[in-house]
Amino acid sequence: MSTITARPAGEQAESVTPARSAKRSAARAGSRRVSRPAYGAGIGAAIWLVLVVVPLYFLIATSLRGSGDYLSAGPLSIPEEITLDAYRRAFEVGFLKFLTNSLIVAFGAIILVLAVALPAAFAIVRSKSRVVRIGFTLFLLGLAVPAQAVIIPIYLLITRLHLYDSLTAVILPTAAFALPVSIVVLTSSLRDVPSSLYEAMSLDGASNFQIFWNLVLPLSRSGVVTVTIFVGLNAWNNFLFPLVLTQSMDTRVLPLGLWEFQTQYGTDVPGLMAAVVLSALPVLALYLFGRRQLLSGLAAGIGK
Amino acid sequence: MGFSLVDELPKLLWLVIGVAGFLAVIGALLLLVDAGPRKTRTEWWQATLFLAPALILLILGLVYPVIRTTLLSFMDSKGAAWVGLDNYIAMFTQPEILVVLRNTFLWVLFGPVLATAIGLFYALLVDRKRFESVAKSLIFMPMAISFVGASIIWKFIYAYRPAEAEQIGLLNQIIVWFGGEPRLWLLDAPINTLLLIVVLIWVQAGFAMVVLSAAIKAIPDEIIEAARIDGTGVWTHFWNITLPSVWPTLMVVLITISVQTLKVFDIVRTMTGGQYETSVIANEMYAQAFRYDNLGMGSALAVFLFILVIPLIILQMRTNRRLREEQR
Repeated sequence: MSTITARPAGEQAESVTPARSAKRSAARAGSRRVSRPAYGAGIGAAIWLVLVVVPLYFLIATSLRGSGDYLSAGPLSIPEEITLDAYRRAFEVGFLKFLTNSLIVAFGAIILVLAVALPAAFAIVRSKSRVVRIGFTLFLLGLAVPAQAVIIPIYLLITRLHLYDSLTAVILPTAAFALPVSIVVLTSSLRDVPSSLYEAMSLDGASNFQIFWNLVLPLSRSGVVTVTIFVGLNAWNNFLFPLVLTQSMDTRVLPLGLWEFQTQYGTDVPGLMAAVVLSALPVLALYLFGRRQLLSGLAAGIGK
Repeated sequence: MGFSLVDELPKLLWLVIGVAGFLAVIGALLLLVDAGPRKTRTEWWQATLFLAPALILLILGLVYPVIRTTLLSFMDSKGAAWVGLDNYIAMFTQPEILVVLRNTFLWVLFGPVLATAIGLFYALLVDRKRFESVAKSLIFMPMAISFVGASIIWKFIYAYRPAEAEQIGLLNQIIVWFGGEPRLWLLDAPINTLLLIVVLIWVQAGFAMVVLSAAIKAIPDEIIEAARIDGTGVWTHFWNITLPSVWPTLMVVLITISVQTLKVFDIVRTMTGGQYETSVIANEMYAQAFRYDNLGMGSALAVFLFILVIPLIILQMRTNRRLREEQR
């Protein structure tokens, strides 16, 4: 009985805010002499807001349900009792292991990319030699390559190197793949450094090592942050590379873990939703605490 | 399936070794440049040395595989004998693969335009409103969820139970409320492809909104002020001021999402596995190469995908250059 009364309440809770906000936006827009069409637009926006919010509500509400409640109550009802059982089950099927693996792949790829891309960007900015220019063009061409165009030979190569089903097997192509964008980002952030600074340091007799350490690293900090987030996000969400290059439970990363969870325990929907929530938490935390950096990392892919 | 930190230690150890290794590489590079024999101090030699590690990774991870994929696309399923254009001919004649091409076309037709339009629309609407940051955070939220995660959520929104049973899927629940019959949504072609596209839009509209919102905020206040004094209506304002100002950004966003859409794989793999006539090029490529062991056909599909992406990337670079020049 309680589910029947709970349902309209849940529905209402979802729809009140957008309707009210639409009205408010129309009112405010009215003061800026843009009243009529903005009203219709407000309704459209409210519909999209509902389309975004309802699945999110479904995700979180379901993850907090007991597994019996999920099957008997409607998808939009408010959970009868809130329980973290589903989260406990997500951990039981190995969520922590997937999380550790994903973190290792992300950090491995970040470190590898920064280690090779920083010196390369430094060379590209500082040098006018032909080799460097050709190299840079090669990186730019790399921007266009889709993962599908490299995955078969990479699979063959990784098997040949006996790296199949290891985390290294995922880290290497993930890093190679993020390299072109990273080089472009780092190059443009180093280009902003006035060349007189480099020259002043060289004239003072500073070695390349000192220039790199004292000038390049500190001044490219924003580029480094952007690249870190870009590479980290790509590694975190990548599905194709781990799907093709790993196999066992021991090397399973998060997206693959979610996928396998879905095929094996497809009936435990609350557990599955809990796992989805957990896998999104790090990115959400980044959004809350480092929005500007997260957005720069996201926009890195579009080359701005 | 317990988790014990001790079990994970070897992996972490490898990570530490990896870090140390690469720091050593950089250190060695710099030392070699600074302290090496006189010959190594010439400018181009130093630059090459700095470039080398990145270039090696690029060549091993991208350049060589692309060449090999192209070669494999002209070979048989085992990659043992040359077959000429057979794979490409099969690709454009086999009915199953024609469906795949049609689906990819549907994805590119609807996904990018709708995601960008919704993003723009939303960015405009919440711009300078009191609830702007809350509304933007909400719309952005799906971006935090991976495509696999988003697909899992939507798979259950489309879930089906027979009419007698309590519906667990939201879509069917709503249909039942309105007195309709629940349907097996993901089995009905071609509606199922459109339902998968919704997932892409759900995620990417947030991305479009965030980028476009920044572009809208970058429109100089004087222009907006001048338009207000002139008393332009909302539509004239939109067509004459907002749209031209954000146009290059809009194009970049549209192209970026188009590239993403062409390569879409996770959503299809997670929601239907490409069954029920929902497969797209990227998924078919995976299935051919790694499920049916047909390396030739898989490679041909990969090459075709690459060819489709190239013009978009060139367009994107051009638009980006124009955007940078405008900002100067």
